[in-house]
Amino acid sequence: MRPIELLPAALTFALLLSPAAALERVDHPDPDAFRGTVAEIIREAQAELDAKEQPSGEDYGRLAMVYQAHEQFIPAQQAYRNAAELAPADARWPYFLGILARADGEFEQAIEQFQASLEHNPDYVPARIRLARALIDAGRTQRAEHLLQDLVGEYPDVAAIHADLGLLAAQGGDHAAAVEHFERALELQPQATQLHYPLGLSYRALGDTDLARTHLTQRGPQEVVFPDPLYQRMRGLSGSYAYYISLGLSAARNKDFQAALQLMRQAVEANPESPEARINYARMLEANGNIAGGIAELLKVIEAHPDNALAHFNMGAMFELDGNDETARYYYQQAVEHQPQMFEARLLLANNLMRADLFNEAARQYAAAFQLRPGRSELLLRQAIAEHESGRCGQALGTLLNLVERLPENFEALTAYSRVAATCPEADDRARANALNAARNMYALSPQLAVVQTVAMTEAAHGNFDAAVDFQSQAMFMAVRDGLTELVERMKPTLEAYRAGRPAAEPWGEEQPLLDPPRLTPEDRQ
Amino acid sequence: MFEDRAAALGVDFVHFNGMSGQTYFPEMMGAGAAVLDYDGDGDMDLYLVQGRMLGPDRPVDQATYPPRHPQPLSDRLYRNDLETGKPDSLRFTDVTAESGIHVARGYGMGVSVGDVNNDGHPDLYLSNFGPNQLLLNQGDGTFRDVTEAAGADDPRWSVTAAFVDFDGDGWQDIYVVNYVSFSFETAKTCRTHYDEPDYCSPQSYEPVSDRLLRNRGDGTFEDATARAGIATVEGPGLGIVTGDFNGDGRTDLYVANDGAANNLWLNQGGGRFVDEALLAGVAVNMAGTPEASMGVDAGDFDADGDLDLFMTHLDRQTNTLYVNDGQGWFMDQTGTSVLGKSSFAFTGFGTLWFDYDNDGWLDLMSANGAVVKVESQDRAGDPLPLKQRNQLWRNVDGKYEDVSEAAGPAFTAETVSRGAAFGDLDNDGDWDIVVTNNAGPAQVLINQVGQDRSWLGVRLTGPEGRQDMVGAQATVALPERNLLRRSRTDGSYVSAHDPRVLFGLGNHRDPVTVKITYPDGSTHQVPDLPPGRYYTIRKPGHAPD
Repeated sequence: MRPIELLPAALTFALLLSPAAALERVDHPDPDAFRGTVAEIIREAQAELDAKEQPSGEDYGRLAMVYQAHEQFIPAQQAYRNAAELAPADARWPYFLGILARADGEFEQAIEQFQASLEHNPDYVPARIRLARALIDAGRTQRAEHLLQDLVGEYPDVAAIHADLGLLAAQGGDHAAAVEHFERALELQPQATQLHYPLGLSYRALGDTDLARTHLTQRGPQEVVFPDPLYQRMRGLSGSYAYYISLGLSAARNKDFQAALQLMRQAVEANPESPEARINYARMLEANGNIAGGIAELLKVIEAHPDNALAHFNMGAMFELDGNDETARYYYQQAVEHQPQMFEARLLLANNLMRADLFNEAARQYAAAFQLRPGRSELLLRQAIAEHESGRCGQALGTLLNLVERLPENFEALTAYSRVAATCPEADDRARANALNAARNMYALSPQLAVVQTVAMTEAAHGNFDAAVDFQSQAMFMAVRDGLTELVERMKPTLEAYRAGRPAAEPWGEEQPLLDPPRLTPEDRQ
Repeated sequence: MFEDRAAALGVDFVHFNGMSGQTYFPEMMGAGAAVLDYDGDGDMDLYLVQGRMLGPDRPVDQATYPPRHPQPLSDRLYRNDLETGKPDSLRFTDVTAESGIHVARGYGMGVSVGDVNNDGHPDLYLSNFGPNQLLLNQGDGTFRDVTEAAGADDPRWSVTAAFVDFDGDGWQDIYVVNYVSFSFETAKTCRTHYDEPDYCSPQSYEPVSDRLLRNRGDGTFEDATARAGIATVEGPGLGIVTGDFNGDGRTDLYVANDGAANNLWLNQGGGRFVDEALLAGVAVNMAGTPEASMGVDAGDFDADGDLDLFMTHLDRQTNTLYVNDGQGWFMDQTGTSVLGKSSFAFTGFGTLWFDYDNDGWLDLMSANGAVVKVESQDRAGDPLPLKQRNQLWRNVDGKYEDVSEAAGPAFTAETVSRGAAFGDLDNDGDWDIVVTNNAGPAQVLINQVGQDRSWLGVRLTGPEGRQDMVGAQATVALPERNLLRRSRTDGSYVSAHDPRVLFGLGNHRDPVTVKITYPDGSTHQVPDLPPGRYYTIRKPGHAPD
């Protein structure tokens, strides 16, 4: 037994140039058809080739790899063929041509190319695995089986080889052997969730429908993988991960989260060090319902980049979705610490603090969020409510005054202002007079339940208790009419207070929705 | 092999999709066609489903493609005026006005054909974006909208439906396939990778559940969805095909969902169904991934005596072939078939297993058209840049080969094809095809090759010789293999087909025996039928009460 061969084949070969080679025309893609980094990468790669008076196989091969990395398969094939023509002893170019031919369903062509590659580098295991797969695709199962049996003898711990042997066995009706291979592959690579599906079907064929159902329901999108430095080098061409991310984001925008997950995984494979790729991958795991997987990926980012605010923020969001508000709060706090300008983190942190009755800090976060987005006036309302609940009604009144100056016709703002002015001991006569006017104006425009209560409150604050009793009674009648029996019960003590000549003590009860901001939902995250 | 003769035959139908640049989801999903003998004269007539203007209060003069038929738009019915025994006399006449079809004014998706009152006159169920309609054939060449009285409506976005006697009581019930919850108010616009507005996938909207309507036999239907166990399952359904997939003698239902796991509703008896798609191996593809299933069909393509499944998908997904092992357990064998590779570049909709060359093997056709913009067409300024060519595969001893290029210009032209309805329009013993094109003219593809081989056709009727026994299976035993065929109108996409059973017999010219299995499980055998003509076979026994 020897360790799996990981060295790229081409490193062992000398480059042979053939001056008389007949080259194929390459239909180069227009870089302007791409965006951002990708356009630059393609433009640069094309310029490199153009700069060469007599491009070598390596030059064409490198351009082809860039094209393949960006899914420009036709020009990639053309350029690879030129590379192979100019450097016929280089195992890399037929290898990539084989991969592209197989993806096109040209299985015989793929077989030829993999064989050509192996002639120059017979020890490159990924080429042997891919040759076996092309043989299976082409229906040449006997030869594929020989190849795979040789491979499994040499490398008994490679999941992909067992997975392929499992597929072959299942195709041949030997489901007992298939189960053995699939189970071994899953033991070696438990994250290869795609294997549960053929495993389930093999259990079904063996008559064990319980185990079949178990595995069929465990099926997932993760393919079995094997180390392939050549392929990874192509995929990892600088910036190519950005292409997958942009495709993945596009798929996510179109709500195709499965495709987005696949693309983000490709981004991670192309550049495992990129926090951006991994965070997006985590987001798509979450979008596909795998929050634990998303958290695991984000932990990797945070371990490598402890100051990555986006990772902390997403971690917070995932814990919140999972119902763990306390841990979510910790990560939101980390996010705002590392990136004070991150509005979303401040807002979710403020909501979180509000739900935990940590009103003082919530008010501070709402205020900071408002500084970042001064157009979001409703944040002032949230801030004021948090300030009031933290026992600072005077400060709340100031915040609300700022709010009603910005939104003079907004009932929610006017109601909050009027009620705080009517109940806060720090409110002066002018504030209370403004509150009464505002409440009466709202009543004239729209005598809805919350407005009627507010009028009662402001009348009482002015000592007009008879009027306050009338309005409070009217509000209770409306609540009864609307079936709000709990609210009616909560309104009774205030009515009694008015009857006894006492103003209202609190501007709102537990019905105030902003006291308990709603939790994040999966839909919010999309 | 096929020649589009729509214009020459008098079929001038042009679909109106009501688009006006808003990328409303429904505008690129329709519409269907039906091949049926509505006037009982022994030849197949054509029904074509129409759209209408989309968008709240949007005037028709804002349509990207103006309507080509008089307004108000309605579906259209074309009567076949074929003279008996003269295939060359094939000719259609537009009888929309006199048939009462002008009442079909929903935004049409699909049409299904069945006989709800067993009077021998085929009725129509219209699946709409909006309320559906049940049109009763009155037997005098006219139809009447009986939706409300029959209790057969479904106000959601229905795409297709199937007539199926699921409880074996002799009355055809209706399974309505619903898609997603879409409204103009909540309409979404997605973007292409080059940042232009594009159509969204169904995953952008909430899927909805299907509806099962049980025929009480008195002209009314009861909603049997909840009792059947179907009501709680929501899926973006686009296709349905019925048949006995597990050989237990009961009619099952297979629903193709767009981007979600498919459902195989196994009939448990007593009006109950259980979804066993996952264990049966037909919920997802071999990689365990749900695909965007559009069209679907069931047929015995490998001549082993059971019903296999084929469905069309998005490009880059491949179409999928599920092979039945006889017990109702399937294997995805797309990978080993040319059907996968050759469909990689296409988005398929209408599809059917039919023996176009009458060699005794079931061939396949796929009506194709993209659902997201094709960049080159979009950049060239095409307002509906979804065009692709259609495909034809020939079955050679159980293996498929793509013969599209040799099939005629209709298979090389690029269109936004959706529905495909099949039937023997000229009664010459081979299957012709009606292809519907979104915002384009319908095609009538006349088969030029099938009639050269031996064939035998049967119309299976109830005991009184009136209604078609849709759902019955007929078998002809040839020395080399058995031919299993279904009398059906279901399958494909948004379309309904000639209910007659057509056997391609290849070079076999001796009389054959036809064995029939009816939906109620009873069987019947008719020996010594010489090939080369159609027969009507009555089910023995009495009509249902």
